[in-house]
Amino acid sequence: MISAPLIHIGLVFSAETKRLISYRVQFWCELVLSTVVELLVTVAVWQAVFAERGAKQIGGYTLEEMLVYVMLAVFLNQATRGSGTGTFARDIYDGSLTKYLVYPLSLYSYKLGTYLPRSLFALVGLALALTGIFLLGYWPETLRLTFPGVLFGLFAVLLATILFFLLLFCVEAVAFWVEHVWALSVILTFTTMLLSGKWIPLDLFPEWLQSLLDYSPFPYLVYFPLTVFLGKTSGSELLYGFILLICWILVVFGLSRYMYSRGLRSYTGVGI
Amino acid sequence: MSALKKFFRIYAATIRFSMSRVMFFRLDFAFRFLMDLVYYAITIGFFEILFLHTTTLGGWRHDEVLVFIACALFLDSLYMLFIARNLWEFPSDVNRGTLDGYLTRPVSPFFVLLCRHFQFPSLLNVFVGVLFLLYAIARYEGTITAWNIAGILFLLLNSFVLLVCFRLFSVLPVFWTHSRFGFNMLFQSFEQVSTRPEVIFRGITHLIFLTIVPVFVITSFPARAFMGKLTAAEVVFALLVTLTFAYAVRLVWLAGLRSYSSASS
Repeated sequence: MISAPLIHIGLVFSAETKRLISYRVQFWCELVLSTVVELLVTVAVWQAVFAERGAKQIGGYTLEEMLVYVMLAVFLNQATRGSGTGTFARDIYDGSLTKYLVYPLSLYSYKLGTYLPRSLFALVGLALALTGIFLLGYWPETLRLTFPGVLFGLFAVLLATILFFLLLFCVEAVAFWVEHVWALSVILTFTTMLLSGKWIPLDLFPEWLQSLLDYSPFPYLVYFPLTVFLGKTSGSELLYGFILLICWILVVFGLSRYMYSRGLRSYTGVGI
Repeated sequence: MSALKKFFRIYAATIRFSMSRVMFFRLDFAFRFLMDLVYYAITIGFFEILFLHTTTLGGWRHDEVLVFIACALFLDSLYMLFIARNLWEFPSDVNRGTLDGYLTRPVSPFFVLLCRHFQFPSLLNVFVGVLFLLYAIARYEGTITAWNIAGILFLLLNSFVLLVCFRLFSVLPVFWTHSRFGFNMLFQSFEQVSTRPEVIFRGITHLIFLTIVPVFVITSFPARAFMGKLTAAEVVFALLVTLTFAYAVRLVWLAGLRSYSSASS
């Protein structure tokens, strides 16, 4: 019973990957160059901050630890952000959602299958970056990359990707009732950049903001998977984090199901 | 002169159409306004958190970085108001062949490409951008002279022209690549560079973002002009970069039109 949706996701995933790389030169140029630019920016910012302060540590991070953090954050953010943003809303607007209603697979399977290919490319990038950091000898001695840590980290990335996919699904489902929701998905993406810990580790945020973020799903999109990866979260903290992440997935999934079923009632199938 | 009058008349009609569109999609208006506000909040928030852990960034004080962010956000609001939507739709025009309609009109197709949409919701953001710029100037701790004010205004104007030319390069390659969004993803990452002060970059990276991808000229130069940290040679350099990019855009546009094969492309 469970394997059918997984097979569906796999088939769509494979087709979408082929589609994504059909413009080969542009795809690779953009993916590699935009990643390099993002890495240069984040590294430059933190190098400048450490140089100004002349301090060995900021908020418990040495420069080397911070650079590893922000570099991995770039890849993890790419992984959780996936691809296929905006397609669900467009399907509702132009009426092409109808075809998914008669497909022998669920809309969730289809959309998740189209969402995941870019995540895979980001993870490949992450593996290459890790290898590069190790081979060049830049890996800080204070951080321990262990096999269970990497396994748990990858699992956390997978869950975080599903969480962001569902958050986007909810935002785009607003299209059932409102014309033009593109700006809403952009708002979600912008907010995630800062509040997920992609640009700055969340433990460097002011305490009032950290406490506020504890009640939101944002820390689970980048910061939590990353700290798991780097072995900074372990034991009961790790278990607690995973439980909360899964709870967030269930809550957002429930919300998306509710919005989808309510939306279908007002969907006419002829486009807006 | 009459050609200029015609362009203004057409643009006035575009603005009127945009206003009526706003009345039709009111929530979209609110969402777009909110979207830009969130972008501003996130950009400012990033630096505010950073300054909790340092007193200067690349040698710039907090008030100086504020002027820099204000310039970057003000330029972004102008870009969103006048240009953004026009360029977002361009790849689809080329790939579906709807560009034909613009090529056959009795007005410059390049003008139509750049001016057919006016993002009315962003007008509010320009207002917010101006207010933030005034706030940043009021917070500035250095000496402010008439030259500083003239410098920032002149370079903001130059930066806007350069920004438009630069962003055109994200979509013009669609004539050959036929991809769905042009090089949007790559140019979004350049946007991140443009919201970081030039002074934090060193060596080859600094050189690249000053010349080939001139984002520092766009956002950092106006702020530096205001702070009196820009030399006359750098002002001339900024103008030359803009002229070079404008000329290159013209060449690429004409070459693109030559290779454009209409609806079946």
